Amino acid sequence: MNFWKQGLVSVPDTSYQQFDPATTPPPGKASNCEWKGMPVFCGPRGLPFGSATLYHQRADATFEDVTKAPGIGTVQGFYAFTPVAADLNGDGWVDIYFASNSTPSMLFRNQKNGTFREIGTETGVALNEHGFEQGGNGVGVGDYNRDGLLDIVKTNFSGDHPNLYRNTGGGIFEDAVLSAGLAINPQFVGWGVALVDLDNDGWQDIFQVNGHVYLELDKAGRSETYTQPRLVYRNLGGGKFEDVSAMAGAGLAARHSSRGAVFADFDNDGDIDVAVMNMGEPPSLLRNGLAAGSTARWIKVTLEGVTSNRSAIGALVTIEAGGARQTLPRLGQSSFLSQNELRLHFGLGAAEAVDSVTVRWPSGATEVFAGCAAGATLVLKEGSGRR
Amino acid sequence: MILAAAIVLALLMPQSTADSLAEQGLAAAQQGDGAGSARRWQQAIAMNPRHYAALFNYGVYLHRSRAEAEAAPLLDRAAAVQPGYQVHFVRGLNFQKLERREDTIRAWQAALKFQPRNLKLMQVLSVEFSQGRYFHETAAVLREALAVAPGEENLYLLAIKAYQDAGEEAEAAQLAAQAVECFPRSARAQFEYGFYLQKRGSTAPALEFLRKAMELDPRYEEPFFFYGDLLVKQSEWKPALAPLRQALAIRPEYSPASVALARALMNLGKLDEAVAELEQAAKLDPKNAQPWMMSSQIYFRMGQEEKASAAKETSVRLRRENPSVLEAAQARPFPAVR
Repeated sequence: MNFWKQGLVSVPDTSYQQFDPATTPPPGKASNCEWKGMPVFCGPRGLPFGSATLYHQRADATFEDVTKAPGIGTVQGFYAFTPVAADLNGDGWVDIYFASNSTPSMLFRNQKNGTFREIGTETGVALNEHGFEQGGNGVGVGDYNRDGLLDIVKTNFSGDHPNLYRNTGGGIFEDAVLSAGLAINPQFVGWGVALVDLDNDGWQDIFQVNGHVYLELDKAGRSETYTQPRLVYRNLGGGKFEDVSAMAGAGLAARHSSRGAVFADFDNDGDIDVAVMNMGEPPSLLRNGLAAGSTARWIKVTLEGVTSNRSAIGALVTIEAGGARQTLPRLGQSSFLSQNELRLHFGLGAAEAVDSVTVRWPSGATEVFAGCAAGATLVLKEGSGRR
Repeated sequence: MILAAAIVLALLMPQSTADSLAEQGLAAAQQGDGAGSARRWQQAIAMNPRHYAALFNYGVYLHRSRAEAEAAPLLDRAAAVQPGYQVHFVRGLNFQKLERREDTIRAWQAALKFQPRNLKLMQVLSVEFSQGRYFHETAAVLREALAVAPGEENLYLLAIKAYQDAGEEAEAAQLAAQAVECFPRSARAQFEYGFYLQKRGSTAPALEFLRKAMELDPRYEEPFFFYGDLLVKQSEWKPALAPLRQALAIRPEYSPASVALARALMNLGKLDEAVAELEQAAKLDPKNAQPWMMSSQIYFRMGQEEKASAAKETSVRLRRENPSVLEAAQARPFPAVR
């Protein structure tokens, strides 16, 4: 991720918590080592907090720890899982959002002067609407309502809903999970997640993998289970989603305790597939069977930075097609411990062509490129577009 | 023959003397002669260490005299000699005074075996389980109570709460659905089911049950809050104002309602009104971090970042200082019998 527009990459990193088996009580031997009356491994509460680190690339391609300088290190006391770097307030500078567990999630706003300021609570992405800390795990970033602003979807622990943080402008968010129809599966512990157009209709859907953390559940005969199915919510437009998991095939219904999920068109057939990491099992590769019978069109966009970092991580791409505008960020990492394909995939619905592509490069430059017919992969090089 | 009679007499003598002493002890106690009664019971127990009446009555006497620690071993011995409802129940009471919750529970569980349909005992046992955060056990004993008295509305409501505390949402929901059918005129029953439905994301039916609860009991604040809060979550800012204000009219210190009202006002652009609402909430509920958290969001929208940051810091401090305000108690397993 490029935070300082210097053409070099910075990497935000987290450690979830400090764990020392010598000092950690065995299951059931302390109040934080029980869950719903069942002895389980301890934490996160009661165990020492983890930390966030920011590594900055030097000109010689090595990295240095710059956590203290930018102000990230000033925030203490959290169990952070997933950092995602994206320009969340639309000011052209990349910010960092950390999904945290049992502590407030954090949004570090890029202050444009080499420092960050934590504004998660102020912007509505730290806690739920009643001020309760959540069990934040995975994060997806996209623009589900096609307003050009980056929204966030965050998965949480069971007994809670995910968050669908709708960007209302200026990086202020409202949790739209209930009005979006996503608050219907609180029984699952959600992990890897993405805002991704799975049916090429031009609206970003939500794919979420699940799995509990306590193996003991299966022996305890509880209604919750260690292995859980995956979920797909189809974007209906108008800010609404529909749970179509039951119609999405055996790969969705299969029960695993999944964590990471990577989104990419693995078979290059024009739709997004998903690779899923499962605990104690081989990974799953879920092939999207849409292409065979679908008339919906698509394009892919790949970027090559020149002034910006070569992979153009941190760029924001907006396409105009069929009278609609769609926006996707080029992310360094998201979902949960995962890196999606760097090609950006846009479903076009019935549109036969893309009218234009606008790229805001990590360097800060904005360029407009000519569109193309559907079904193509556009390779856009920084400096070759119209400024 | 004479020898045999003498042996029998010899065997009976200590017993009959112990009986007599135990009775004398009881009589003395009834006459208010504490020291005398204690002395006679002690003598009876010395003669027959397994004399139930002496052990039990002396134990009860000590318990009533607030000498619970001395009473406990006597009552334990009495229960070992002659287990029964009464001795186990009193043991439980005595343990309760000694703040030995797990022993209280075990004693009352033992008493319940002798009177398995004793509703009052089930209720006090459920309270004890609940106070110990043994929510699964709380729910289980209330389930048993419901089997004994299926027409008791309060038992349903207590059991629903216990299942919720235990995190067993499906069980809570099942009972809430039953309660709605059994008690159609109960605002609490309507509310509990509406509460479950909103947790499941079933907004429209949840609103319906919450509305019924509001109609059945206009002085019951929770349905008003949850109804208004659901509207806020649906971005229906204006319709949310009235129910939230009603919840606050009933219970002014109801912080979640203030926060939801402030959120609605904020989204209606009434930022100053929202701040005033939260200032009032912070005064009435000074340990709660929620009003400060919401203030932080509103100040940020006003462009007052330093105030926003300060409000956030206050919310963080309050959350740290008063964790119980925002954290639900976690269920824990009842320890295995030692």
